[in-house]
Amino acid sequence: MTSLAQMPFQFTYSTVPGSCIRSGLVKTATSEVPTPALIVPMTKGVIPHVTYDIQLKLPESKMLGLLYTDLCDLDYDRIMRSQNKTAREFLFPEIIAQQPNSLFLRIRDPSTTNIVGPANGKQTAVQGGTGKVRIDSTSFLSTIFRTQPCIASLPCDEPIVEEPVNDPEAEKKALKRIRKSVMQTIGYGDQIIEMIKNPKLPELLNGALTPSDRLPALFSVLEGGWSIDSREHAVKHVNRLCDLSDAIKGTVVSGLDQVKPENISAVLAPTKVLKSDLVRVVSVLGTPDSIVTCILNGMDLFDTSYPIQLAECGYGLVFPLLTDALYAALQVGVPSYPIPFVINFSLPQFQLQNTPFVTTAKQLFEESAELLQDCTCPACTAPTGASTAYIHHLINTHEMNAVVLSSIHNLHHYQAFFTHLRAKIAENKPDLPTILLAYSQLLQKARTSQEIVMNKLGKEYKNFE
Amino acid sequence: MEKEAATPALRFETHETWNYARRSTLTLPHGPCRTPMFMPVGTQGAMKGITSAQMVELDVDLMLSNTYWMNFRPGPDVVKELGGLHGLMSWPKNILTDSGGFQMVSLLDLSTVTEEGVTFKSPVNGEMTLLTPEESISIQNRLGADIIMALDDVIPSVTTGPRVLEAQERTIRWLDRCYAAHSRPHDQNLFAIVQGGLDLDLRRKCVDAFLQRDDHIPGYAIGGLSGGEEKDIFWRVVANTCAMLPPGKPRYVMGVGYPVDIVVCVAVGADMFDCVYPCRTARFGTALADVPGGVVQLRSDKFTNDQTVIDKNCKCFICKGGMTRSRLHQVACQEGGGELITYHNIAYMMNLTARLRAAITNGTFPQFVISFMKTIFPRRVDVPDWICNALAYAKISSNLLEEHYPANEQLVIDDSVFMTMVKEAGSGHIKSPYHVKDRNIHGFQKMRNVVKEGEEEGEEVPKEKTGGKKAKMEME
Repeated sequence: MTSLAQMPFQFTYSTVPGSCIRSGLVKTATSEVPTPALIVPMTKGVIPHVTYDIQLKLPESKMLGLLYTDLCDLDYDRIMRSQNKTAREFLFPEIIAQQPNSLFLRIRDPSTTNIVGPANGKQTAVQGGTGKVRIDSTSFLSTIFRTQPCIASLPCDEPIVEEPVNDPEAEKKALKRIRKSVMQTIGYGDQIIEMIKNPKLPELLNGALTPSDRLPALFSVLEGGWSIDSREHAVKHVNRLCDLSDAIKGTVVSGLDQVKPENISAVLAPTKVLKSDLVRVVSVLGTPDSIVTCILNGMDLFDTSYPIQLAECGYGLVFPLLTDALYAALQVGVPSYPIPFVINFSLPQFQLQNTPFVTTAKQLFEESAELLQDCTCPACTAPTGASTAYIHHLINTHEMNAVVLSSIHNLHHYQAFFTHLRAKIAENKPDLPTILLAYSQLLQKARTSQEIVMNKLGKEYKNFE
Repeated sequence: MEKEAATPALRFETHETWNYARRSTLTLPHGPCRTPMFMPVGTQGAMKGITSAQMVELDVDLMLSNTYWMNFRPGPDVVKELGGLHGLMSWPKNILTDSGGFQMVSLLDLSTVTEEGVTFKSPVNGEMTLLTPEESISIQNRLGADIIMALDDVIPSVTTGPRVLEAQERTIRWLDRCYAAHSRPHDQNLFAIVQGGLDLDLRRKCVDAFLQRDDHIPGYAIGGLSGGEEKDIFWRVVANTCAMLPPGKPRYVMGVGYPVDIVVCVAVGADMFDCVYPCRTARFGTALADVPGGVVQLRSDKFTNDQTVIDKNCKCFICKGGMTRSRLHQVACQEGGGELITYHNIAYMMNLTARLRAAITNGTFPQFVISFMKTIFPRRVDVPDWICNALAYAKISSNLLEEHYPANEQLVIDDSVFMTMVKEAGSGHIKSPYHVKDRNIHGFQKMRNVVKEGEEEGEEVPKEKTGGKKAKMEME
């Protein structure tokens, strides 16, 4: 047992009989987050393109993802300490700070590959806004004590290692790198656990730890890329880390963006032997079909910026949510008719489409219209709700409001997606696993049937699937 | 209620006055507008970074859009089919569209003016298009704004010589063509624009000509300013023109957006103002505030550990919610930072005009103006001469310096001053270190090289300097 005072953290969950599907509640000092849920991505403490007054209208924003380097750049963690403020108090205006939300601090940026080498056994390196930031156990602990997030995921080494095809030599090399990243990541965890157990911690942190500071819930990182063997190895060590310290409250399953979509279930299989009371977070992976697949494999939280990035590329999400109507339709099987996934606002056909996004989708996909639910997001709601034609115009004229309005809509749509999933899991019908599997297939079919170019508005994104 | 005027689509009631300043209600087809008012600019049908819903929350009564750009994309027929600009933007309140005349100056290299109209080379596709007064009104009729502007012959405000007279006379001739072409007088108000450069006599002649047509003119604008002219001439043109215009109709000074300028223009009798300045400067990390100099340049390192809010009197969620300058310094260069500061700046402008209205109503207008000026110009040396002259004309203070600043003021530069005091050679006059400009410049002037980029201290230098990027910059 560590002698450090810990922040309140509790995770209760139940598992759907005969499956790995879990529904739960993460309780922190500042919020209660029902799972499965989305961790809302932030850049420098702001949801990209969404100002705080609008964030207030997205009440499901209860777990907010914050990047470690956003706190370290320009020594902002020290500034917060000098102002005697926690990260929440410093970053947010009152309207947000008074809301029930928790900060989830992580090293890996879900929107880009920010972990850069070379990593060694004592420190990893990430790309920050003002250059490369080296993170070792001392700097990591200093930052989390100064800023007091509710949850902090441990440092990791996460190289981008593509799965070679028919090239044994390349595969051997890739596997070697994956194993190294697993061991490095485990090593960082061991060092941090050892350090927090050290009675001389205050001296080691050179004043960063004050008597009133509490240790956030720590989430270990489970690496392993696409290698099932490496994942199994990593799972053993994550469980060992939990035995070493009760500060470990969860694990971040990382590197799934390098796994082929059809292999996700297989790669996640080893996580079934993870200690069950750990909160399981999926990092980066963000398509709705893969999220449903992960839920089927027992995952709880999802750290992704996919909805924002789709908005930045000119797309509005309209895929069907798991409503009663869709549930009933899936009981018969995956519908054969076309299902919409996104509205591509830049298409010329939308120039005169003066309807809300979902209504546009209903008109385009008449057969599936009854499966689509009207949107109630702040961007779509009358009297100031945006139309498809308006976003089309804004994209054509390179107006930033195109991304602002689509980001609000997409984020709201994703949160509604999780709300509906939780509701159906709570109903706990016997056919739930089958339905979720069918839902995942439906979403994958819908997504792959539409061409989605992830560099439409000048940015290029990779590694979603 | 002192004065009232009404046309089919406009009612203008003046409730209180303080000398030239007045508080009025301008009722338009999409609701009442409280004047004095600031009108944010959404050039292409959108305020950059602020949604229509946020504009409603910010208490904006009227916003601008631009005929020239909306004519290019998406085109007036498309906008008409989508229910006009109101339908396209889902904006429930009033809209004003500029006529496209401003682009004669802002896109000077791409335009030529003849009696028939102005020919533009499209910055989008390079095509030549002729914008006549009739075409401008036809486009604006289809865009469907509540206030539309007559096409005027706009010249840079520092122009002198016969071109000024030509532009003034042509503006009058074009006004008649605009009214002849106007097909929606029942629900759109066509405002006339007074031209005449910096020549008060020409301005008078222009107003005289307009007064002969006053029966069908619902409101007047004062154009051709904010183009690099000296402030001491600028305010005199506004004051003299306002004095000549009929009291029962709204007066709109085009392109004015610096808070100090708005306060002065209100004091000399103007009602409506528009400018991209509050939004554009926000994207450069500059917040407006009641502080010395009137701005907080948040990208400056001096704010790294500043625990105060931008403006303690501001009611926006950023200031009221305790977001410190230190925190905003962190995001000022980031995505999200521009939107936040834009929100604050619009809130500041709305709050400024609300305070002006309240002061006129309460009879405390002179006290408010003096208090405001003393905040922006805290020391005697900071106060520009033109402010003193304008406030004397407005009968607010016959001698601002003598009456409201101590005579034996010490010239001490405190830590908060970040610009160097410059003693101008020979004049013995000490230039204020604060960020208040001597001339009105809102972007387009820089492109014409009358004032070189970065010549003025504190002036933001655009990142894109090539000719092909001019139009993109001009769009806001």
